[in-house]
Amino acid sequence: MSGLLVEKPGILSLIEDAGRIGYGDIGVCQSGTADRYSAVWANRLLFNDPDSAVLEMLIGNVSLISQVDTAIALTGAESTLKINGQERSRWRSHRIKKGDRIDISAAKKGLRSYLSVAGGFGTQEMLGSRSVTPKDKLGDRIAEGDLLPCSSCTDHIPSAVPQRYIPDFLDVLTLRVAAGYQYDEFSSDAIELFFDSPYEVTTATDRMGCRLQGEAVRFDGEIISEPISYGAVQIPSDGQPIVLLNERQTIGGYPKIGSVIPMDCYRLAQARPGTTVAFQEIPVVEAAKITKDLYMFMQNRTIC
Amino acid sequence: MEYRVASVSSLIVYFGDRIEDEISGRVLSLYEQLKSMGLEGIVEIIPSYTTLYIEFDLFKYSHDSLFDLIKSLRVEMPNRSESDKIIEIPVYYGIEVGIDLDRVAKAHTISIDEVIKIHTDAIYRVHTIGFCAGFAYMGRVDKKIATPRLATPRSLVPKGSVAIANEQCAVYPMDTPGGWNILGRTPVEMFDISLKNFSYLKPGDAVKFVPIDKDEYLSLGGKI
Repeated sequence: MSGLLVEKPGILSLIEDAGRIGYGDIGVCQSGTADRYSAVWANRLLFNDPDSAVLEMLIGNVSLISQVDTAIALTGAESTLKINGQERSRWRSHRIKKGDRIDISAAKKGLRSYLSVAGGFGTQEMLGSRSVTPKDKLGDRIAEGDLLPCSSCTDHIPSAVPQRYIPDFLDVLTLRVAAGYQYDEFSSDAIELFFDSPYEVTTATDRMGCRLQGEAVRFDGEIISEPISYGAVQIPSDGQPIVLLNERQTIGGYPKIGSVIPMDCYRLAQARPGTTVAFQEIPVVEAAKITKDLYMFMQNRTIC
Repeated sequence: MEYRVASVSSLIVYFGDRIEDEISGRVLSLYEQLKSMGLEGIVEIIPSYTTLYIEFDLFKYSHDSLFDLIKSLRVEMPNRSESDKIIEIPVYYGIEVGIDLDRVAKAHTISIDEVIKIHTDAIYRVHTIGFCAGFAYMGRVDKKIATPRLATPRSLVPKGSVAIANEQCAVYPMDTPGGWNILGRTPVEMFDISLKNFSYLKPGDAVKFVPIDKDEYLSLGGKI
C-alpha cells in the first residue's frame, strides 16, 4: 500500500478513529478522536465511513509528501492548509497528485486538526480499532519517515462543509452536564458553587482529560475506585475539576458530579489553556435527546 | 442493588460500599452473565470492587430500560472455590528483580523467604482491571505482608513486576510509572494483542503465584 510520507510529524500527531470500544473490562481505554465532530466532517467530505481513521494533529506543524493520487480534507483547529505551497481551504476536499506536498501550519485557534484521506488511513487494526493509544502500548505517535498508508483515488469530486456547520472556537464555553455518580453526595453548596463559578482551562490538559482551575469544590469522604465514563467531571482532593476525555483510565477513585455531554466534550478538546468554561446542568432525558440528534446528524447527514 | 447515571449513555450499578469478597462476587456474577449474553446495544461492561458499569447504545436503551432488564436477571452466586480453574503465574522472587522484598520483610519483621511463602500460598481473585491495559487488581494479600504504596512512585516499574499495595497485588503488564512494592518478576506476557483474549487475566479469574528460580525465569524468556 502506498500513502503519505511524514516529513514533519508535529508535536503529537496520532491516527485515530471512533475508538476502541468493548475492552474496558481488560483495562483498555477507548481512545479515539478527541473532536469527533470535526473528524466526522473530514471523513464525510471524502465520502468515507464517518468514523474512518484520520490523522489528529495537536497544534499542527505537520508536513507530508503524497506518494499516491488521492484526495484529502482538513477540519478542526484553525491551521492553514497548503498544497505545494499554495493556500487551500479547510472544511473542503482537495485532489492530490503523487508527489504533492501538504503543509499544515500551527493552529491560530483551537487545538486539534483532522486530516482525512479518501478511503481512510489503512493502518493496522488492533482490537477492532485503528486508534493509537500510546499509554496502552497500542501504536505510537507518527514520526518522520513514517508512511501513513492509504489507497489511490482518482475520481473524487470535491465538496465543502456548509458554513453553518463549521464550529467557532469560543473564548467562553458552556459545558452541559448530566448529573450522575456522587452528585447526591456533594453538599448543595458545593453543587451550587460548581455550576455558578467560571473555571479556566489550564495547561495540564491532554487527551486523558482537561484540568480546570477556579473555585475549589468540596467533597467529604472517600469513594471506592469505580469505572469512569467519557466526560466524567472528577473532583480530586484539591477541589479543582477534571473533565475526563478519550484517554482516561478505565477506573478511578475520585468522586464525580456527573458527565459532560459528548458534543461539549468535543468542544472542550479544542479549548486552549485560558479558555473560560461554565458548567450547566441539564436533565438526563434532554442530554439523551441532544446526543441522539447529534449522532444521527453525524452518521446520516449528506453533503449539501 | 441501585443504579446511578454515569453519563448520557452509561449507568453504574452499586452493590455495596465496602471492599468485600461477597460484594465483589456479586458484581462479577452479573458481569459474567451480561458478558455471556452478548446483548446487542450494550457496548462496554466494566466491573470494579463494588460497582458494575454498563455503556449502552442510546438508540436501543435508556438508563431505566436497561436497569429494568438487569433487575429481571437472576444474579446467582457461582460456587467458585470448588470448580474454578486456577491460573498459575510463575514468578522469580530474586532480590535483583524483587527490589522491595527486603523492605517488606523488615517492615513486618519476617524473613524474605516468609514473605515469598505468604505471597505464594494464597489464591487471589481479579476484582477489576484498570490503570493501564491488562493491569489486574487482585485481592487479598495476607495482612502479614500487606504494605502501603511508596510515598513517591517510581518513574519506571519494569514490565512483569509482581507487586503489592496494602491488601492488593498486581502484575505490571508494561513498563510504566508506579508506586507498588515489587516482590518479583514474571516472564508471562500479561497484555498482548496476539494473546487469545488479549489480556492474560480477566475479571473474576482465580490466580496463584508459583515461585521459579532464575534459570527457569530466563529460559521462559524473562529479562533481568
